[in-house]
Amino acid sequence: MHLKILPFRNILIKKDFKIISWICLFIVFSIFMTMTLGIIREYRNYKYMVNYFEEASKEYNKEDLIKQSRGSVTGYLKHMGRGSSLAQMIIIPLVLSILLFSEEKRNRTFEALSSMPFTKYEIFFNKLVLCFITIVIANLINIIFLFIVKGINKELGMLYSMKDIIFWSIRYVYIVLAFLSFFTLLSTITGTTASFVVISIIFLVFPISFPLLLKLNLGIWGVNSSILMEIEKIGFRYNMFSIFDVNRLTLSIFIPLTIVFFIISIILFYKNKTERSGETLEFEKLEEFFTVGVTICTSLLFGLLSSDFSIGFGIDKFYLAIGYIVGGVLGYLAAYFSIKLNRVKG
Amino acid sequence: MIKVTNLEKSLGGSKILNNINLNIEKGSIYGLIGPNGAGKTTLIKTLVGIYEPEAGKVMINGESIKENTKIKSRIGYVSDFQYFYPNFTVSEMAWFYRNTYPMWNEEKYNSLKNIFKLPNKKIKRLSKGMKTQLSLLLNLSISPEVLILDEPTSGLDPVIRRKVLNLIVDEVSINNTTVLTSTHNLLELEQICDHIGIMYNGEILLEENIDEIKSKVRKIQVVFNGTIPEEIKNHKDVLHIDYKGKVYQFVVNDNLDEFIEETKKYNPILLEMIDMSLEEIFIYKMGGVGYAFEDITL
Repeated sequence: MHLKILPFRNILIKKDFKIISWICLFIVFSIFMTMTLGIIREYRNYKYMVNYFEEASKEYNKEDLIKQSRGSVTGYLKHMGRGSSLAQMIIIPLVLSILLFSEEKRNRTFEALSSMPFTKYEIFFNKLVLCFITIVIANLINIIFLFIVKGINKELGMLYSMKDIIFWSIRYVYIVLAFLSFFTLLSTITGTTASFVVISIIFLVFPISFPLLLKLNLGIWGVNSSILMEIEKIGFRYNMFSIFDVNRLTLSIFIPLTIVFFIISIILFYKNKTERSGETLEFEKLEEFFTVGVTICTSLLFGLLSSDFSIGFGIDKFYLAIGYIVGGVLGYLAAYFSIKLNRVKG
Repeated sequence: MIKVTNLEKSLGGSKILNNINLNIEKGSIYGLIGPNGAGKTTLIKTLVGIYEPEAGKVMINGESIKENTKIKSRIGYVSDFQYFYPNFTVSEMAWFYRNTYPMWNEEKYNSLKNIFKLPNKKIKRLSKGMKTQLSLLLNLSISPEVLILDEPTSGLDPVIRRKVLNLIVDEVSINNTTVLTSTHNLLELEQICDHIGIMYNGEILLEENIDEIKSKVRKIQVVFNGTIPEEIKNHKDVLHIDYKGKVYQFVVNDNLDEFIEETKKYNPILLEMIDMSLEEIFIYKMGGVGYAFEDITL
């Protein structure tokens, strides 16, 4: 099928599905382990309580117990479960981006695709479609499972409502898509899997870590800026991890941001040159920015670390300066050689 | 069929293609030769749409190749290194090609499978030669109008190599496919090509029909009575002089008749034409632009 506006190409979707089929199973399994198993765990606790009361011949109100357990489940679902489910919502889109974008660059299969009858738009679009379908279907499988369970086990079925399950899944899809847009954008500016992973980690923690790093460094020099504290607060409040707190404000930020990230990704994907696959960065103009950024951040980090050596000696500024120099040099060399060693031969 | 106009391409800050102009007729087999680093692979990758040129155009059948799925569906491309999906098997790659190219010929694929006899392993387990064979198998099965090959026989054993050359010739004679092939093996080029282009330093030095180039660059064996006359030694059309005792061999580029007339003035004892292989023509032609080989023994 090949529609002009929405360029679906079954063969591209099927081809990419062969690459990510194992991760589809992993998504189903991990949703089951976090969401579904969480509900089953709560049901087990409820049954334990019922057995306890019955064995002890104590009076209990079954309705109250059910209400209590249902409240736990609702709270569990509302807050997206435990830390492991939050981690998977980051890891899954990261791995999808690696397999569908970075690895294609590393294996140079994008080069093969460029010579084949596909446009760049088709290649990009169908990868996103596949990711969306995969995430939605994985959730649908768990929804259907819980729907069937509700029909088979009335007691377990009383602990949750399908409305809560569906809302959980919608939030899950929204969060994963947001992270996917973020990682896809980064994959269009990096040329290797290694640089993609490193830069992804850096940009994930950057809004939190950089203001904090700057504040701590300036604090040692006796500079306490209220502006910096404000920036640090903004960094803590508005970073990619804020998306887990689903409310009107975060929705109003992250939904448009996701769309913008996807649009910028496709523009940059179009501008990607095949000959730069395998280089650290896709765009030569970013290399200077990357080198300077890594140098500054490493310098600040090493400054902070080395000033810790001076505790009690009262010469922390000296060690801070040494740390700046060592960190700066190491950071510069790391950035310089990561670009140079991955330079594709002409 | 394939028309390249003023093509320019740089990689890593260096200019690799410099004002390339090329014209390949439908149904011809065009051989692209040149030393390492001449820009052959870059030119080929630009022709099939992998690289985007900084200047110039690539037109196939009068249409630009850029993002043109219709044209690309009629082009088969065998690269020097095969970038297949490493975890796909041979049959899975065939499935991918089958569902991508509208002119896929299943019958042809099955008969070619009997020639190449590839095991149905994962691509990452295949040797370089096997991957090249797979690429040839798939790209011949798509019934291409244009077949672009970058060192297609590199890494192949002599038996398969012979079969591949025959397949290419059959493709042209039966289906009128246009073929562009680059290779260092001039003997192979001579066997199958009707046109050649010599590339050096990002430029096409020479583009000619093989028979015509062979008629233009000739080797003449001359024996003079005395020493070689200066006018003959310094003749503008002489690419190379070799001698053993009084027997001189001149490689002459163009204006052969003029050279012979000049030589006859000195009443040589012997004056005869010697056949030259394409390899010799290439070596002496490249020597003319400074890519010289010393004391070549052929």
